Amino acid sequence: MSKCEAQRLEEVFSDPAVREFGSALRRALRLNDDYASLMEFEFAETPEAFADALRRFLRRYETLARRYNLRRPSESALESIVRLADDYGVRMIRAALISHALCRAEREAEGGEQ
Amino acid sequence: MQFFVTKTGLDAFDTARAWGLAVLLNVLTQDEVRLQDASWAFILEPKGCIPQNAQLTGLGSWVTLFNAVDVQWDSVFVTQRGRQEEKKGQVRQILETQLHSLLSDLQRPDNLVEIGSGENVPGGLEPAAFKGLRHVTKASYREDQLKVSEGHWALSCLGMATCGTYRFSREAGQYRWLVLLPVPQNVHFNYFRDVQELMRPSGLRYIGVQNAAAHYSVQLTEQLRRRAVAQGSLQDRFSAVLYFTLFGTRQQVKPSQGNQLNLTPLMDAIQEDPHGTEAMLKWLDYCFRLGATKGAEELALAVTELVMRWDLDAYEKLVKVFVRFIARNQVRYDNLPYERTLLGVMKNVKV
Repeated sequence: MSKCEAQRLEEVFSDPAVREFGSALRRALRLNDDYASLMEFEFAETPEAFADALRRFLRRYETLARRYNLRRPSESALESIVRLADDYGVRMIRAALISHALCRAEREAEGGEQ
Repeated sequence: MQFFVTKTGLDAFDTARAWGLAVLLNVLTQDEVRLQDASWAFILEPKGCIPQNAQLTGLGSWVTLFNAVDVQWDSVFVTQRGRQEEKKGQVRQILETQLHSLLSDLQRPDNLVEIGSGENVPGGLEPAAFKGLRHVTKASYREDQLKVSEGHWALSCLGMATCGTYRFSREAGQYRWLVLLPVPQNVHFNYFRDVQELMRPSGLRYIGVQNAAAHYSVQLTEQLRRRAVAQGSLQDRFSAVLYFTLFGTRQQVKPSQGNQLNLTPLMDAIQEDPHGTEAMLKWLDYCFRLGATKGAEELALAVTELVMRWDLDAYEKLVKVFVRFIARNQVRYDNLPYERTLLGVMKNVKV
């Protein structure tokens, strides 16, 4: 069994880097209607394109983070998620990332970050 | 004492016979009947004993089957309009008169259904019974009706009338009958209304037969989950839901499409964790309900695809569509899934 097959979607979803970016995407969608990033993630087919989409998302997110004093995803999280996309393919990482964006935010955690 | 419903390959007919025999044994023993799918046959085992010289005539629970309004005789014989009462009476008479020979025949594992003579299998019971579907008819339309021996015909009609679900509704712009029948894998049968309860009509407007079948499957799983929570573990398992549609032409009723929806992923999920799957089923149900509203057809299709396929493509499509609905403010905060809810869904997704 390949590494890709052995890795399950739920494990990717629970990865700290995916969680960090997913929470940021959720806030970007709810507070800033950042659907451009969502579309860019959807159109990314290769790990390289996905990494570019993540970087562009971070640039957009910076403005929001300054305005609301939000925590930014770390550089190590970016490296980690790009590595995951290399190892397991873009589709699985994207599905896990968007899943974080649609789920209910833990109010305490969100509050603590602000 | 075991009884065998040997399969013929006509899925709805075989499953309906199994349910019919379960109803019959339940009436005779007034006790639980265990129903198992052994792939080549359905094996039925009543808990109680069948009394010597047992008679159906005069038994209150037997009479109920032919008088109760929730037993859908008219729908089973929808292709034989005007003769529905006659057909119902025929089922009753055959089972009352041939009871002992039929039961002794069904106790042999090598019993077979004689095909080619006897009674016509109604199209409202088995879509493959319609003419023109089994053989190439070429220029001339000369295919015979699908005939089976009387006893098996009566059993199948009884099973479909009691345990099948018929819903007449407008779907995708056309009025049609949606027919659903759960396929038992390992079931403790106590009363036919317990099976009917699993497929309770939701009153939603579906966008197609697959959409309706997928929602009914989620509802069935939720009912079984509740029973599993109450009983401590999952007692009854269903392997699939058979579904097909019938539509009325000017003079006749004809089949349009059908298939079966595999319930194994959902059954495995509730067997493993009946408490933890509640949120997942609730969220899927919400997606179906939101998908039944005007303008939300995309969501209905996405959630249907997930319940039918459980693969990464289908899952990704659903989350993408759902997030767009959040963007349009069509989802209230209370209806957003928790992380653990999505983890429950992901556990079933094949990557």
